[in-house]
Amino acid sequence: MNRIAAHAAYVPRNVLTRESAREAWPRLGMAVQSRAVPSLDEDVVTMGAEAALRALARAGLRGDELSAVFFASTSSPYVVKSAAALVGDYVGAPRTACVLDAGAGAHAGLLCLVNALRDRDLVERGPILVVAADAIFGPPNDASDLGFGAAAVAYVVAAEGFAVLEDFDFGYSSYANVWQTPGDTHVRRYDDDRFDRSAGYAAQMTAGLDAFLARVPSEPDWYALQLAGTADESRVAAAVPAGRLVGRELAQRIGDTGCANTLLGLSLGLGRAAAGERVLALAFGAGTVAALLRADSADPAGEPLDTEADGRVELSYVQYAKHRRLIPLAALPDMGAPFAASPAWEREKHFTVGLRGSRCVACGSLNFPQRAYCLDCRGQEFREEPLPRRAEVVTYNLQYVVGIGPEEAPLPICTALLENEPAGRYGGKVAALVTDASVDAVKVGTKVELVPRRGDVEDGLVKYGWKFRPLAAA
Amino acid sequence: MAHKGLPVAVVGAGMIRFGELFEQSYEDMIVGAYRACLASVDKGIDEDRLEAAWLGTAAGSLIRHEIVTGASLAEPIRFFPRPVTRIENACCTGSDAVRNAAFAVAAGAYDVVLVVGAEKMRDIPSRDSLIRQTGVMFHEWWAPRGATAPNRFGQFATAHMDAYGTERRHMALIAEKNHHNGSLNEHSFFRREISCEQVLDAPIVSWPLGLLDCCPTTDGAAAVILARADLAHEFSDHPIYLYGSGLATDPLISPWKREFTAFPATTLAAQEAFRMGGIGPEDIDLAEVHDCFTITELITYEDLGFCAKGEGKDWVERGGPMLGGERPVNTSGGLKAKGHPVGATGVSQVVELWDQLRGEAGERQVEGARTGLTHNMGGIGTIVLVNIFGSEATV
Repeated sequence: MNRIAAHAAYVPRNVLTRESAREAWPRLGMAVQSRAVPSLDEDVVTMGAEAALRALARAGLRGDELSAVFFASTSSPYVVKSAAALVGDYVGAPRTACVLDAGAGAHAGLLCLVNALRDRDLVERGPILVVAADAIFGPPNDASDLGFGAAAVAYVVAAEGFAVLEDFDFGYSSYANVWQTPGDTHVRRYDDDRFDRSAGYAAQMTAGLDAFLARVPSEPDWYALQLAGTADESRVAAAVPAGRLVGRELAQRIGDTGCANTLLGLSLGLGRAAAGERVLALAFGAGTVAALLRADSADPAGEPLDTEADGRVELSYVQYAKHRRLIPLAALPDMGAPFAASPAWEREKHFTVGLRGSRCVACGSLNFPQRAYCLDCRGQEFREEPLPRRAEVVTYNLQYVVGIGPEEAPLPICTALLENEPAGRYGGKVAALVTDASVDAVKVGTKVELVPRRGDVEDGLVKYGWKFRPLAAA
Repeated sequence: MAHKGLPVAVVGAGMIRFGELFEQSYEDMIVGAYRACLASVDKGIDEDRLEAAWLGTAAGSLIRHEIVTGASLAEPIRFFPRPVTRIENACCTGSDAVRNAAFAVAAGAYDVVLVVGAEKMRDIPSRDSLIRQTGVMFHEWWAPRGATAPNRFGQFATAHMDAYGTERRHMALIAEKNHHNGSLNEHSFFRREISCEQVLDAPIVSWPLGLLDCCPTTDGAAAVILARADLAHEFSDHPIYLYGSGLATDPLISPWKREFTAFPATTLAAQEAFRMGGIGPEDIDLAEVHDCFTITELITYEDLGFCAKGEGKDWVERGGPMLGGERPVNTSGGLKAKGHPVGATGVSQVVELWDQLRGEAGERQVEGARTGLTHNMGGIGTIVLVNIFGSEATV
């Protein structure tokens, strides 16, 4: 039977608070206390990749052992191009991997997990990685914009694990009061709360919950529900026994995270569940998806989901406007063709996005990326291996002339020695931009870690890669 | 007895004033440098004596968006059908054109040859020439589009400051010096003095490098005529001779650098050139070095052996590289003041030595200069070329 082996989350550090939102919209009610906002160099692919890499590490699995990558999002950077496959590049998925992109509604996250838990044929070939990530924006002058959020969550479904799917259920409806057409940068809604309450989230969630509870043999111990942060959320929450609903505080802090919403709650629920306890998960998007999961043992991660691990930075509304691209930026000069589609990119990405290097068998130097002759000893035999993500700054500069991208000058850029690699060699180092850091956070000797981030965009195509982020001082 | 070295002499050297030459085309600049070079030949030269030519242009296709070949020199000066080889080797382009032309003469293939270095950089916005290039594209995660030169050299400045206590002030002294020298050179783009304080107060480009730590993006061209050393006096009363030429390489990209406080290729290229000439750093009276950024010049003092490693800051503070100092460096104003039209730079360094070793450098003349060194660096210490010239005959 398929099981959940591990799960992990990523929540970007930037938030827009209710107070900052009032700078721009004094009379617009913000349903949540703050909403999470991706950094300028983040999107659902990089956030999803980070959550995925954390989940794989917790499961003790390599990306090339996977049979499939399921990716759920309503805010993929592409209409045509698989975000699941881009996450696959980051984790190093094998050539045989199945990639599935799901979206079009916030129910898709839980639906992917349920399908992964039901698909024994795939799990016989290898574990399935399920990633849900969203970064949702509404019309700027609409209260809904202030209630949406951004986050990613990932599950590893394998033959071995600590939790199983006991039951599932669906509620059909084509009505959900959000839509987005190609070319739109935000979702829209029909602005009539009273009608929506009778047909939308509150009505469908309550009906879905009642129907599923009638099916299941006993009362679940924990409830992970799609949380809207609105008054309607309270109507749904009222149907749950006191103290058994998880995720409300998180939703108040980061907003409605779409496909990641219910799965983040499920992560919190699984973290709390003792052996034998059950968690009910209910997601809403196109109708409802319900699932009942049983923890056969306590979560082996042994620690509660830390949704504040990546810090917290409060944005002004102007910064928020820049982050969500409300302030237009000049485009880079046209180079004729996007580099991220070129043969050069295709040849290198296994190493540069998959973050793999070549270890010289003769002298042990870690050459990055692949080489025919070792940089240090001219050896010609290599073992491919993942690069460590931690490093120490060898030298750096602060770039004040940063071209035309959205980043603010000065931008730290550093060359760093990878963890456990000896100094004084040609090999063993990586150079990258530094992100999510104050200017004075980078010095010679600063400990940094590589995090998945976006580079520039050419002809609509995003160049995905890695940047350094200072490690929080221990 | 002849001085040790290559059997090659410089019998003419000339250039146009570097700068933002919006009114001159690439071809106009080549013609200007060629005519200045012809005019410098003491006894005159029949142009038909020039048997072959080398053209140094670094970024023809990249910046000009037009293919540069040997014909790009053969056409404007009506040199065809004689052979012209185009050299591209980043910022070493000009020096490498001189080196390859000299080797052809030394090999006995030709008696008299022409070398022209030319670069048209300001036909596109200056920002583009820095940012738009994909020259360091391997930094593929980087935005926008790879690394820039100030970024890369800034990392060397940071490391040198961290390792040896070098300060921005020491680098600023180099900018001040080169601007002073440039003010005395009619071929220099910037002919105004700047103070150390102005350098320190300038806007930052890539900390720790400020705007006035960086050389300008410039148009320009320079030309020299090389001849068999034993024929030199047919053309010139005071030829200068090639004592040696050294070239060394090192990885380009940041993560493949072994060290960030030295450019090992400089030391290796200099060793090769010194060995050919049977001399050492102590024999050098003056040097034209690659001050694309002030930190590059400071590290180069150490790498060439003008002072000990880590003591570049002390040497500049003592006035070692100043006019009238122990060993003047960049008497022309260097890349910093004279300008850096990439393919022309290395050739123009020879023009400065031509003036200096012949005692024709006017107010910036180094007293009794007999031996001079040119140092050209491509990439970030990735390709370094050192040529040494002297006034003693090598045959």
